[in-house]
Order: sequence, then structure tokens, then C-alpha cells
Amino acid sequence: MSNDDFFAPDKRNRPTLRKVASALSLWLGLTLLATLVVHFVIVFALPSIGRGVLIDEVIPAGQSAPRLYTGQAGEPRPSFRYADDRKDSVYCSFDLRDGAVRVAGSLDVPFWSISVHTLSGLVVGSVNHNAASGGGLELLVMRPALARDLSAAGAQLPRDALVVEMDGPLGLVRISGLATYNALRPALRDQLAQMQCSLATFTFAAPDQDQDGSQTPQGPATPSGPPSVPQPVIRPDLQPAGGEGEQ
Amino acid sequence: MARLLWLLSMALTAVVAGTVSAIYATQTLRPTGTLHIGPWEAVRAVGDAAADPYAHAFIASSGQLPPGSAEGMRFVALASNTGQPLTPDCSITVSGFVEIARLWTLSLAQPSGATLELGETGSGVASRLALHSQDIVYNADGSFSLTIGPRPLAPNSMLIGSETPISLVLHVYDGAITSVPESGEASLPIIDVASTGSGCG
Repeated sequence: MSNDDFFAPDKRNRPTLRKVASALSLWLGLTLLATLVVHFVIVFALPSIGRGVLIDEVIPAGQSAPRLYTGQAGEPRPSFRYADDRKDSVYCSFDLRDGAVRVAGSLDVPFWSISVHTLSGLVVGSVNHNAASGGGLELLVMRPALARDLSAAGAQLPRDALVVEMDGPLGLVRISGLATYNALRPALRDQLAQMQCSLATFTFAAPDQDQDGSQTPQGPATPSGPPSVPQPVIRPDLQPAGGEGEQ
Repeated sequence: MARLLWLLSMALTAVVAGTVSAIYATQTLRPTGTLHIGPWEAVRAVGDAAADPYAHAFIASSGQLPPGSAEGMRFVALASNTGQPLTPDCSITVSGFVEIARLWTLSLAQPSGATLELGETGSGVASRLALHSQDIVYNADGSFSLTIGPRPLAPNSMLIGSETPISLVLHVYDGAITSVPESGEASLPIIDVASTGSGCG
């Protein structure tokens, strides 16, 4: 290879212009390639590195989730740099490894919304007051595997609940309201503090019974116990999708 | 030795150029789908899973929670309609209509678009940093005119004293946001910068 010739300590043949140009071209080409690799590695790594920004901002060390951060009575309330100053918000951090999270409530303002975010800031889903049923909104945030398990087990979700599926376990819910006048903002903050953010519980339909009294076999994801009694949520890490008995 | 130097120089150049270009691209370049209406600029669906990797990296590294599509849209203006920087020791006039939303807010912000604190307004005379669409007086035709500067006289005004350039952030809510055309033909307020006679601009 001519490149080897270029590096070879050959004192008799000094590098020709052609060899120098060849080595320079090779250097430029490989450098460009390596630059692109470094560029894309950094771009794709930033969301993972940047997760810490939101974690530090919202979830103080030692705090458990889900928890609503209202900013009232000395509680922490994160203040994001690009937020609308004129809008009031509360945040709820959650860990879907503990089960599904239920966010519910209503606000008496002309515009309010709920959004679900990953810890790197991406919006997973958002709804506003126009989607409210009976004046309130109810959101269930869960992992896709849990949604499948609940469906297979015949879980009875609240009729008007909106289900948001999210792959990652950690995230944030932002509940925001826009008060018409500044004088109404304290009342809005009180209403925001009353919003619910907690682990969800589900009721399950009664197992179908045959005429001889035997029960129709159910998937093992179905919790035992009487129907219409809140059951613990099925943890996807304990009941992995595709595992034994999964449908 | 020459081969080692050759490789080292290549690696060093690649690391430096790759890092600088990645930071520049994620902090400066606008994501695909950026909407321009006059001096106003908004990024559609920032934060959605479909956002490009650069927008994703920018959001993650800046520690922001962008609005979801049901939450509205955020427009940022760094200059007037004629391209003059928004320096609050000048008189900045925002006038016209916000046709695309029923509810909106207008905020003063840092040039990066980050929230401006009252302590960051130079002389500290800022009266308020954000206005609601129902906080202002409208003209008979439904238009409005808002003045921002050190000595605002108009009925709708925001008092601020600073030599540091600012940006204007318009959050629009509960409107036909998704129907804003790609061409940006929808109407947003016009921004003018005028001298106040104290050496502005």
C-alpha cells in the first residue's frame, strides 16, 4: 500500500508529491469519518446524559414516587427555565416499575392540561380540558406490558380514563392551568394541589362460570380475590410479557 | 513514530471537531419542522417521540419540559419584523392580532428563550414579565398594541430597564394550533423597535 511506503523510513526515496497527497487524503477521509462517529455518539448520548438534569430538578434524593410536587407549604416545586411564567403547574414524579400511575382531577380555569414526560423531557402524551369528561380528567400511565396484562386479565378500567403507555419506567406528569387574572392564581394553585397522582388500583370482572359451576380458565395474570375489590397492580417486572402463562 | 503521530492527530481532530459540531448542532440549529411566522419561530411537536435526534438532545441537555401538542405552542422572537434586536432600552411595540389562539400569554425572556427573573432586568424596574391575553385592552377591531420599554406610555405596557437584549415568548393555548400552515401564513403580532431618544440601538 502506498501509505505504508509513505511511512517507511526510506531515505533513498523522499516522499513524492503524489505520496503526500495520498497520505493527506487518507488522513482527511478517516478524520472525517471519525468526526462523524464522535458527532453522532454525542448527539445520541445527550438524552441519557441529560436525564440527570430533570431528575435533580424534580426528584430530590430519597424521595419516593409517585409524589405530587405542589410548591405549597415549603414543598419543593421545580421551576423549569422555559416554562410560561403566567401559567401555574404542579409536577408528579413516578416509577412505573411500582405499577400504573393514576392522575385525576379537575381545574376551574379556561385552559388546563396534563402532559406525561420521560425524564429526558420527551412528551409521551398530553391532553387538555377539552378531553375532560364531566369536568374532570383521569389519566392512567402504564407500561405496554402491563396494559396487555390488564387487558388479558379483564381489568375494568374507569370508563372515561385515558391510558398513556410509556416504555421507560421513570417519568414526570405536569398538570398546568392558566388563570384568567392574576388574582385567581392562588385559587388555581390550591386546586392544583388537590390533583391526585398515585398508584392505580384496578377491579376485575367476575370470572365467567360454566353451567356446571366450573370456572372458565383465566390467564395467570388475573389476580385472585373477589371481583370489584381493588387489586394490587400487576408488576411487569414480576410478570414479564411472554413469560410463563402470559397470553 | 510518524504513524503514531498521524493517528493521534486524526483522533484529536475527530474528537474536537465531533464534539464542537455536536454541541453547535444541538444548541444552535433549529429542529426540522420549525415554523416561521414573521420574526416568530416555533418548533412543532418538540418533545414528541418523533422529534429528531438533535431536538431530543437539546431538550435533554437543557432540562426543559416542552409543551405537548395538546398544551399549545411556544413562539420565540429574537428581533423585530425589520430585524432589529430587542433591546429594552428602546421602545418595543408589539401590535396586531393573535389569530391562531383564543388564549395566549406574552413573556419577556432571555435571548435563549429561558425564563427571565425579575432580578435579571438590569435596573430592576420590571413591572411584570408576562401578560395574559385578557390582561390587555383591545382596539375596536380586535387588534391590540403593547409597548415594552423603560418609559412605556401606552395603556398596554410592560416596563423594563436593561441594556441586555431580550426575547419575546408567545405561548398560544386552546386554538387551531395544529392547523397553522407550514408556510406560516397565519397572523401573529408585528414587532417594532423605536428609539426612545436615549441612545437606544
